[in-house]
Amino acid sequence: MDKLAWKRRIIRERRIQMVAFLLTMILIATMLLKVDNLLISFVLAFVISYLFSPIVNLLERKGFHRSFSIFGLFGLTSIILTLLIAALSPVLFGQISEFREVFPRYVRGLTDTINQTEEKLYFLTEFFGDLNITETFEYYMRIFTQSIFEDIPQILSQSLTTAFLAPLLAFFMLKDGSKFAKMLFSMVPNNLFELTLNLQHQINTQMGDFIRARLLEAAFVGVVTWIGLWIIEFPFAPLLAFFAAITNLIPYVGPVVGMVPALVISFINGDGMVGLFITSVPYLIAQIIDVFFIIPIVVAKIVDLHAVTVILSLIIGAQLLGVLGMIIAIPVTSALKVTVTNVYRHILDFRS
Amino acid sequence: MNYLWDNFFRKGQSERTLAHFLKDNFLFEDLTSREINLLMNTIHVRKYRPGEYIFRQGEAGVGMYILSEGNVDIVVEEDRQDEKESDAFVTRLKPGDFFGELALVEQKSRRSASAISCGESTLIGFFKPDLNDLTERSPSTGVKIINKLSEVLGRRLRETTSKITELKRQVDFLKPKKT
Repeated sequence: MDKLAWKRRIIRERRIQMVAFLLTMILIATMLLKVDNLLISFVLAFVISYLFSPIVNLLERKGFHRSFSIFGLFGLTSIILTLLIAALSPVLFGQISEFREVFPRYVRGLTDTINQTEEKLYFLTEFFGDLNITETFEYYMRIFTQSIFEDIPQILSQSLTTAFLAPLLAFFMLKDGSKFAKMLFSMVPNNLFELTLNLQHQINTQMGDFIRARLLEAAFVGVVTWIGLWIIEFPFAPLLAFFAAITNLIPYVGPVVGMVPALVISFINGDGMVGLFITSVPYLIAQIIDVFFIIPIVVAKIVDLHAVTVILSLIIGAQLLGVLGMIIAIPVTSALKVTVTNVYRHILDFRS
Repeated sequence: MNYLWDNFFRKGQSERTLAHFLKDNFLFEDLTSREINLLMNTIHVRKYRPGEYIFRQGEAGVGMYILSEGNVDIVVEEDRQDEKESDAFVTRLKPGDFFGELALVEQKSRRSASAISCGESTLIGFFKPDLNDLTERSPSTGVKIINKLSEVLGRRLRETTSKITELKRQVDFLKPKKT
């Protein structure tokens, strides 16, 4: 075969390899988006594997076999989680039953507040017709309650599937992740191999650092909020702090959403403006420390995205995948940024 | 200029298993069989067609390659002003030779020459992210490889210095003497 024929063959083979690689990636992405619970399980598995990977590496450095280290870590985590659930469940159930007892009072308080508001706004009926706030509120509450009860079996089955699938996937990601990545790399054409390898490494490092930093941040916000609410003797402090920690994973919107339940409880309790302010103080302190210390020191160094890019990616994430989309919007955008920057640099190199 | 690229670490191995092949390579000869197994999980085996570029001069480099089967030509592409000079052939590498190792230690490495497969060839790629990962998981393995790598780079530097000195001496000899 002459030089030109080989050149043509190389180009043809590279095209075939590229198509095969892209098709595999599209197939994986489609499976993640279309198969129920797979995307959330996959995201959670990533989080678990990124959290566990430094510990597994540490154990491996100490001389333990990798599989044994992963088994041991999962076993130990299961034991700790079981003990924690056993220890915390009385508190949690206590809080839930307490909440069940006070719930009618909250509903009554809320209805009274709405009635009062309706009376105060009665003069507006001249301009806008009958407002019927109570009826509208009742209508939406009915729909909300109905949908919650209808969705409970589905939510439960989803949670159980995810609770089973996510650790399983995380286990294999830690154990065979590099083998799977190698298999995917073997499909990449030779001329793009080093670029792809470098990209994967950069994204992997950035994702790991980002996930660990965000979880640290969420844990910090949760603990500060808990301590603050406990000091002001606010009811359901652990539950509210846990909720604040979870919602804090969503940039910008999350901290506000996290504060809402406490403010609603305070409002229904009729604490007044001073009470509302005191309730918001723990949340504000947690956010001030987070915004001025944790984000600049820990998070901003990992992901360097402009505020407008963050907001846009949040909107797109929310539109495509709801709350999960908002949580994964930032890491996905930063991975895209790394990819585009590197591919652009590679094209420039190639041209030069 | 050939001997700059000559592999003084070659050991005359042909088709053996990958583990044996790696163990026989100068860079990995100090590794235990457990460490070789760890290394095998990180390396990439790549196949190249005749005339296919392994990398091009000036491209960002991420790691090194060990030639397992076939031959590889190292060429320097020269571009002098407007006229494009033909590529300068540097050397032909044989199985067991390795090249591109500078990319494992340099921060923003650029390939100083192009590597082109001469005939069908199989190469073992070992890259910086893999070396970092290996060092994180088993620091002693990483240190052993880096030590050997330093030795190779030192030898290459000494060879280059000696060659430059020799060339300088020849240039001085050829210079017309002032009367």
